[in-house]
Amino acid sequence: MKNNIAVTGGSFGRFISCTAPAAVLLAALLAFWQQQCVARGIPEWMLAKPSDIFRALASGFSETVPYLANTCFNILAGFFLAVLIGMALAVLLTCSPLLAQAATPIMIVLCCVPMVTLVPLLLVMVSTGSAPKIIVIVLQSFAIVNMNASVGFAGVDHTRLELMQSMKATRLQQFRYCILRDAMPHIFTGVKLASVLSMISGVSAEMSGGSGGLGNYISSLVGYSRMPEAFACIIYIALLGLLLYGTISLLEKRLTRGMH
Amino acid sequence: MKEIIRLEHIGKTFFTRRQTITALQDVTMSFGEGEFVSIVGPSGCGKSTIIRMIDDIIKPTEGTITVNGVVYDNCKPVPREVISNIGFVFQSPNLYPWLTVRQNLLLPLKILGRMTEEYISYADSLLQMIGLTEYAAAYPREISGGMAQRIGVIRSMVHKPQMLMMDEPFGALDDDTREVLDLEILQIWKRSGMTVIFITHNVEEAVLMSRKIYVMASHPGRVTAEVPIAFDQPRSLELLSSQAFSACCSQIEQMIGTVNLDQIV
Amino acid sequence: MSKKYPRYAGLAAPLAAILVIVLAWEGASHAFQISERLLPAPSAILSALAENFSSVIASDMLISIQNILLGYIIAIPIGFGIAMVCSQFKVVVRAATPVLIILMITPMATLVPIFRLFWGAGNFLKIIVIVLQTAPVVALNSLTGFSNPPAGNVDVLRSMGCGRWKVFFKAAVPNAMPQVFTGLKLGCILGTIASMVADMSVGQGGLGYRISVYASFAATDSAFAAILVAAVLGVLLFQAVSLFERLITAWSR
Repeated sequence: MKNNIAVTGGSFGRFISCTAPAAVLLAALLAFWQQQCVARGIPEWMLAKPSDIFRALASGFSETVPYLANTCFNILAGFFLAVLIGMALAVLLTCSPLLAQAATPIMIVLCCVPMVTLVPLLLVMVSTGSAPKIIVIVLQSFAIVNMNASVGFAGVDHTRLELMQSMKATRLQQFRYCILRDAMPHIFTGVKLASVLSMISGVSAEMSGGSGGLGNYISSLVGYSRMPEAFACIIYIALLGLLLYGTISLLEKRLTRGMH
Repeated sequence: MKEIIRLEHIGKTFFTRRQTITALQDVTMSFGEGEFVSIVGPSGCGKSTIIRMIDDIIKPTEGTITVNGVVYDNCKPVPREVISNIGFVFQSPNLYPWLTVRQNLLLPLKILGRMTEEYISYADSLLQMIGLTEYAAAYPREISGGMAQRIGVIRSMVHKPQMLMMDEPFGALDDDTREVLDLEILQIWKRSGMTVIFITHNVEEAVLMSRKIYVMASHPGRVTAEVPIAFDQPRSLELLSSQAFSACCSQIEQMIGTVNLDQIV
Repeated sequence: MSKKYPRYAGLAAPLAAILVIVLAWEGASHAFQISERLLPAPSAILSALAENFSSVIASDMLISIQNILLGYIIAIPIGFGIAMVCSQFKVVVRAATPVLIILMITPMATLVPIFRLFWGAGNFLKIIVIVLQTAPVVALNSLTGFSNPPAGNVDVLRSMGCGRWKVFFKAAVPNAMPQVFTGLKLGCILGTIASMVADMSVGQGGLGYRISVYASFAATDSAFAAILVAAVLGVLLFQAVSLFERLITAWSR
């Protein structure tokens, strides 16, 4: 039992204490990398030094923006579509146990299929632009959202649902006030995994053909031996992933407050 | 006294693949307006099932339920106006962990579309009555079990129902806390004039609180006795130590006990 | 499994659903005269598979199986090792978790053009990419599992005089099994994806490479046949890990 529920301050302090250890670890890893490059005299075309990469991060930014924007658009569009489709299907499946039984193993199968293998065909069938990438991201990510949301909807606490019935809540109200909220932790597990799969399959799709996006840009930068710029692009991708994952985690904290 | 709830020849049978289980058989009960009635009996005798039927969470397989003159249809959901006149207190506090104490308290109003000034201030006054106003913004995991159960109790009455079903509300609490809460319930009951159906397996608790006690037996669940309790109102904890009280308790305990013995023989 | 339906429905329902989808696909491709080059019918894909499997696809499949299994098997001890060491100190757990998240969410295929310069295009490079993609997710999930052993179990072992590592292996590891297997299952999904991308961007054989070759010749039916093989590989690997999980975590059900 906590009596100090009114105390809400110290969020900045908490932020620092959460991120400081990770920042120290990252800095140590980068320092080790830099020191090895300098001490062993590793040439830049082989492995760029962190100091050069950081310089490229700043100087090459304006050049990178169109590719970065393209990648951002593909991944975010694919991710949101996947979450939307996965959730909508999960809601639909809660209505029919037989349908759910048919769909569950199919969803597991869909998760394990490497959808990026479709890229070469989609480039021919659809277009060389954003569409094939978004299709691949949606195909790779929606099933895991659906699986986790379905587990959450099915595992709703019996007594919590009974409370809804005692209040004579309509089916929609039961879903909105009880089932959806109770399933939140599961839903967020699925959404987080979908963000990982979206990032990986999206950039992978860019690497495996077509035009536009950071994946392609990295290949051409390496072709021109611009290694620091290539590494800088990888850092942009990592930051994009971290931003996506971090935003979802923040949202999760807000929406599952009180649950753990 | 005007009758408000009537159960006639209620039966409930569950069918499983191997056998048919008769959970309730020919249960007839009557509850007057503003009455405080307890139902006691061994576990598994279907006490909870009865109040769940009155609240339309479970449907009976036989018999009729009449509440406020409305006869329940065994196939269709009962009209919301009837059910929203009934509050339900669960065995566990059953607070939603993702809502704060106050949000939990206001949930029935949201569901029933009664988020008006009048109801909200009534809910706040209930919170003040049990002395937990300062915990309004806390989450359920931050408060103790006794506090949570008190909030569960007042949540069942924020929409000002005429009737209150209580399903062993304090079964999980220690004796001292339970006695305090029992008296709190009696006070609320007296002030509000609600009809209360109180389920318990604790005979002393039932005798302390009620005007009338239904004694039930199990296998199959049925009513074996209807005992009027004639102590003066208002009641207090002193009653617990009186001789008349313990005589009454042992009489009822015997009723439950004999029935069980009969079954073993 | 829902109790309303007999047991075989657990298998029959999805099979029936797949059958319906395949038949609808077959029917649609005949009814609407969809071009073989665009979207071949399931029958065309199967006949392409029969035609090309032993001559071409089988050897690529073996390369992919070898790469995935080797990468996966190397990644598991690395992931465990990182999780084991990091879980010993609260501050290290806090430091390592975000770093592992970054590594997990960064597509390691981006390193292929760079790594090709010093490891050359070959299976070694592909295996490195698979390991880099798989190890972080295994490490992250294991770390989450290892870092919160039930206090009761720990106290019992401590009272019996067990040291740090004994407590770790007797309390933290068994309790972390569900999370560890979540990591392993995600690892095999990410590993399969990484292997396919590596094939496509490195070349030198493998199912991903074969698919892009078929696609560039507009042999769509053969490409789909190879995709089918890749899909079966991914599913089989996942099912193998799930089976292993059921055997090991039987206590938790």
